[in-house]
Amino acid sequence: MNEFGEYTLLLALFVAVYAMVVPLLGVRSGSEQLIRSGEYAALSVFALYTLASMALLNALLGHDFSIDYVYSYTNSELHWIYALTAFWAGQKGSLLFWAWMLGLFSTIVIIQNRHRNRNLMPYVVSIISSVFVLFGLLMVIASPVFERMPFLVKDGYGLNPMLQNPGMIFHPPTLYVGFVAFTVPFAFAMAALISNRLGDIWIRTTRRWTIFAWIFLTFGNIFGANWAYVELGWGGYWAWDPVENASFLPWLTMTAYLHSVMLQEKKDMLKVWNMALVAITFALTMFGTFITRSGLISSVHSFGESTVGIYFGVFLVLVSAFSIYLIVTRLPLLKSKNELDSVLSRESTFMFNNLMLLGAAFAVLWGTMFPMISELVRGQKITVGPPFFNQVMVPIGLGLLLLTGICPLISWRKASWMNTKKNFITPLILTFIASAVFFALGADEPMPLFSLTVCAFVTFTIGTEIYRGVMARSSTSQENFIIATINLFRRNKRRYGGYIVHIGVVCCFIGFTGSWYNTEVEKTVRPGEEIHIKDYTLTYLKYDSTQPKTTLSEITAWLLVEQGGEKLGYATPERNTHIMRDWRGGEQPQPTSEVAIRTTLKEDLYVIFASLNPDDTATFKVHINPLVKWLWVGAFLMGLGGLTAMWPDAREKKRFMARHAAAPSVS
Amino acid sequence: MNKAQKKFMAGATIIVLAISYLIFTGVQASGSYYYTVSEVQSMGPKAKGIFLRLEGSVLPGTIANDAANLKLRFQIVDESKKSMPVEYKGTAPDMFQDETKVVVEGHLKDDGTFLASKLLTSCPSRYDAAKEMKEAS
Repeated sequence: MNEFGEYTLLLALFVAVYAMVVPLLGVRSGSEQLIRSGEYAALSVFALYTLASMALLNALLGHDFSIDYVYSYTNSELHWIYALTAFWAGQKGSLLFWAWMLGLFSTIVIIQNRHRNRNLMPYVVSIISSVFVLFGLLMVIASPVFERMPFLVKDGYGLNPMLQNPGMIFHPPTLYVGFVAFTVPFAFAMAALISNRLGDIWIRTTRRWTIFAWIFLTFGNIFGANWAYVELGWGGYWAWDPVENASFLPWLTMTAYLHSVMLQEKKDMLKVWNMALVAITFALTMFGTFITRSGLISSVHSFGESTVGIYFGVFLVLVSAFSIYLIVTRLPLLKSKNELDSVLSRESTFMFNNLMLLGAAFAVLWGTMFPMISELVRGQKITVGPPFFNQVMVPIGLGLLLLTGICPLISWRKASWMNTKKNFITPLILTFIASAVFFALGADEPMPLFSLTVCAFVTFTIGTEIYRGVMARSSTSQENFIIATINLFRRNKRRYGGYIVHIGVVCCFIGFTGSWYNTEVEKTVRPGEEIHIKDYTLTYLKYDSTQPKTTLSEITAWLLVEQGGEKLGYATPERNTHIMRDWRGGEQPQPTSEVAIRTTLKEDLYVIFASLNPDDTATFKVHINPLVKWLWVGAFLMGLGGLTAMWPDAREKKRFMARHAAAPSVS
Repeated sequence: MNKAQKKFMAGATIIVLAISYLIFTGVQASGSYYYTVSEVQSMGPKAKGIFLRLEGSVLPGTIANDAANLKLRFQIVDESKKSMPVEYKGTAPDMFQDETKVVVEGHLKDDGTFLASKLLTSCPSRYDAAKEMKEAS
């Protein structure tokens, strides 16, 4: 079975090289047959990666410890679901998973475009296949997936206990989908540049892929934050760790692109900028994969240094050089037909939004790379921690949020001051009232009060927008309020999908603001003693210890939770010890703690069982984290809004056709 | 460039300058230097009073945990085998044990003890079974 996997990957590499070269030869010789042949080769790469993945899954589920990867990430007692997710727990498996995912997407693209975009497709297939070649080289030479163990062992080392959590089932694949899916828009953008077909065909073809990638990247980040929150047990969800940053960076630039591309579609503006954004975002998705999988910057996620980094480095340089060359040589063709008419216009809010998102991305990149930059420039490694990121990102974030609120109030092209002022009045009055309410509810410091006020402002401007639309609709079509709302959303999915995303963003900011008021208490107690935090009382009762598996022992603490004298229930945080067995039979205990969380929209009670001490006392850390739940709710809304915006829309298609009938000179 | 574009550029310049300012002051305020134990010891009195970030590993057998008062004491040792006592208020992180690689942040006290306000364990690098076995066999 091992040889099977190895040979499959080797074959896939050769086929990928074929799929990269042959479509270009097809274009040169004008042979549709060669182009098709390249497409079939790309389809075969997917088939081969599927076989290789099945071989690896078979080895993982069948506990074939003669394979290094299986030995390193599983053992015979591991639940089958985690044996399955071990597929993406380590470097080698995740490279295969990444490549397989790209195979799936390229297959979809090839089938979707078998009769469409025929002059773009050869380049698209070739570009996607160049990424296959990169991953092929990695999996065959730099980091062989099916590498054998030098001699036989009875059992595996086991999966890192922190990865044995439901969050780990979803977080990596979601993030990878987001990373990988953006290869498609990149390939189409570059294909449009190469073939000089710079109309909005490539944009339209890839719009849905971009939103798709964005939704998954959003969820990937949030699942990661959620995993950190429930599993890492330090009370927070985001630590500005290099790898968190690496997945946040492409999210920022992709968000910028989703906005700026609207200006190109509607106004034929920002063509060069959009191309640059697509290239930057793609480079950042590769950079993200590279940071996670290279050990360049040490972090909880990386797997130690390896040669994988060099390959990614070279590929990144090639991608950048290639994109810059294409954009520069096509500059005359990328000339925009329209200019900005007025600063007081929706266009300019989009442009400011882009500038700030890019600024945010630059700041995050700078902070992440600072240890390396400072070592190069000053010969001394200097790190910047979370305080740096918070100091820089909070103002930028609030600025962006404010723009989200202002944008719908300013009309396209050229807004008049009179009209703009009129639009601001109602939301501003409501915002002042809301602000007073927040103050009364306890938001008594300037920063959180300002943040919540901006949240209210955005909610009211979007609310007014929707209200106006619904009223107009129900008065002309005699529909009742609810039907009119549904129809309004249905008839302009992109616009209202966008508003749902923005409401989601508001919810996330409410969640972020809550962290301003985080409190924590750490205390060592005997059974019967109490811990007090805010209006909560936790009484430590006892602990239970069990041994569900030979490699796992669990100690559960029981605490009675009361709030203001009223009994709420029991918190049962755990301290577990996983035994990791190495090949010599040596045992390494790996303690983990399972936190107990009681969550409401108002606040989370978060209990960590820090240690059980020899003198029968136990140490607990208790956090009160206000408003955290809003973050998860917000993320859900962002996904829902994204889905609404990407849902097929017959009217949208008709509008596009009409536009193109009117202006046939698109390419 | 038309008038609107000029105005936009003015706004854009302000934003770029503001973000640059935030980044610059952010680095000034929260940048921290990595030192090894021997570097700090050779700095002498200069090391006192400044914020330090020490890298090293836990010297085996030196961990003393006073749970009742939430005090953790241990010695940190660097590659040149120089060690330094560390005092941390709080409980040990999950991965904390003998020989764990740690990063501590804080200040040097007058008696030469490092008072850590933050204790981070870096994950032991991936268990490289095949490599170790090749070395052993």
